[in-house]
Amino acid sequence: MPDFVVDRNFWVILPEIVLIAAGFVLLLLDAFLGRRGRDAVAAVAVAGALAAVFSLTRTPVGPEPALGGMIVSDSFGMFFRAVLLAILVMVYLVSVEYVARKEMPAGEFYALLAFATAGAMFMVTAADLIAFYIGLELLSISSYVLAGLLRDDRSQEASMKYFLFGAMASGILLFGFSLLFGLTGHTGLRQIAEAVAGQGVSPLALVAVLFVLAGLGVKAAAAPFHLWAPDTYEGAPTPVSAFLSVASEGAAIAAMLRVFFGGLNPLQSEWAPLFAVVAAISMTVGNVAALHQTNVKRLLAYSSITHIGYVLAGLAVGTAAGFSAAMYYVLAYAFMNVGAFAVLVVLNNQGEGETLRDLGGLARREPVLAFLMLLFLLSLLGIPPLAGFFGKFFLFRAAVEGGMTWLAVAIALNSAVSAGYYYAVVKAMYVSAPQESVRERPVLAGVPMQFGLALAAAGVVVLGLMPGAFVFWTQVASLVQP
Amino acid sequence: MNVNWQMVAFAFLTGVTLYSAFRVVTTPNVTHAALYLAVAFVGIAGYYLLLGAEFLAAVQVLVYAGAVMTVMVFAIMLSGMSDIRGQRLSLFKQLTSPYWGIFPFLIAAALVGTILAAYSRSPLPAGDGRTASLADLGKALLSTYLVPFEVASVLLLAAMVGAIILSRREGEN
Repeated sequence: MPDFVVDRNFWVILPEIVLIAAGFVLLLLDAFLGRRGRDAVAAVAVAGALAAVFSLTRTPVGPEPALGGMIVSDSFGMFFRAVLLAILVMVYLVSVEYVARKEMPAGEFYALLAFATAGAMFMVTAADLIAFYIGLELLSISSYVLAGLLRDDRSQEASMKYFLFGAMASGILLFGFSLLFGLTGHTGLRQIAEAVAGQGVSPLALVAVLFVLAGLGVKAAAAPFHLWAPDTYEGAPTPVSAFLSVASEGAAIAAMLRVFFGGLNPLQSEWAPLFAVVAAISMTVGNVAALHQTNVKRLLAYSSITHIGYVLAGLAVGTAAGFSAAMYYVLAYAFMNVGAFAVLVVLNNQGEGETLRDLGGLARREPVLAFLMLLFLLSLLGIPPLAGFFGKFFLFRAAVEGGMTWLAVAIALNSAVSAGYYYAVVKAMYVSAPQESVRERPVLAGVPMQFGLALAAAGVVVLGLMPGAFVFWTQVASLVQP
Repeated sequence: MNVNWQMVAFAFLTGVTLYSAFRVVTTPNVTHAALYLAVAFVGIAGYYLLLGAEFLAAVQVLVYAGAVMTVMVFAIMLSGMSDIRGQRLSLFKQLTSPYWGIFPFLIAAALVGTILAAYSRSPLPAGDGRTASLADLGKALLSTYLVPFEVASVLLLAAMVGAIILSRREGEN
């Protein structure tokens, strides 16, 4: 008999186990079926993601850390797991045709997406810095490879840049974690919170806060830590850009919420101003750079930096309202951004590019697709009654109520500026004429893509028309938070 | 004479490690850089020995100085990039270069200064003097840290799959 106790309550990580098992199956299936089995592999991938969604509904929920204090399956974790799985299902559906057209290795592509999502899910449920870090690395390493799966130079550059910045960020983050461990003697977030509360503010704790913020800031692509993002999003396969911009950033935001509101809550008066500064810089830098872009993928990359700025404003406020507003925004942003990238994927599938000229006259060639893009862009801009409007509204209200009026004003001003570049895309689609070479060519989307687009559009509309249920969920999650 | 041998060893290891780490990024010859990196790894192993973690020291030498270095030297040989010497720059250009001139040096110095100041002003809790045995480590990995331990194996699989796809040449299947 071993003289130690193993917590065998593996039910709390059931969705992750299902997802990783699906990844194994996908790798083997691809090896045995070869190139002809691409459709079968895609079908199994979607089935695996749906199985993970189903197992999420069977996962026990409770505020107590399980599995040796590593994992906590609380309602906060459940919320973000649901968001991540929704993203995975959408990205899978959007990728099916793209993977076939670009001749990417199908099994590896879907398996790595599954692994990356599982890593992100470990990040959002981690109750301990060790489990958290392993989840982050699983997400990161899978993402580095995914970004380089196209065989052209841009994709290789995207992967390399992401890897170099990401590895650096991991080092910085780990240094911050090691300082926290050195100061408190614990890696569990709860024990760290207790120890930090007992010690008060020390200079070293502030250095730790700074390093953790910078490390996670790189993963979230918040300015001034965003330098990798535009090149990576532009060069990576378009579905991967969609995944990175919502799943990777969403997981990083969830991690910030957990680490700062959980483990480092006693230092809130120290870190809240830092978040406010990063939020304001991120909104502004992303917006100003996006105004000059003609490549829509790159434009969306800069716009995602702006949106991360909005979300960070919710953290900067530091109240329960700000906390739940940030959660709601991540959910809303997932649908609208995947949708916008998906429209670009449809164009890519025809062998067309993703510049404003390529989008020219899209409304004449394919009115439905252009209308969907319009819907996603209006939501990104924050026009009622779409998802993005309530996201911004809750953040704005939280900032005003939390006594940070200047940050609320920054959100409003930046939203106004962002109209400039979203309008440029709309103008290209509805006013400009199509390029001669493609004037008569229809734009066709396969069945999986149609489902993916429908899912994203439904999310944007439903979250906008009835935000109440989702807001309730985020509020419950923010109350449970230690 | 009362000499604190531990302190002497620490100073020696620090000097060696820092110097080799510095040479890793400044030497123009990639093979030399790899060898300096091996020295830096061994220096880190020395720290583990000083801290009473013999097992970690052995693993550090085996995995980093041994396996990782072998792979790196292979990679250098296969890619045929033994020399990455660029054109020589004038002293003024070197000092004002945005990559390794005065400016990054100042940023690095400010960072190190801040961290040192923070260390000297923060009360660090003293350790309880316990050193973990190999048995403790094994038990911890298979009980408390079981989930991260298992996820690490998925991580390695993802990295392996990634390395194979990315290094596969065009046209191969």
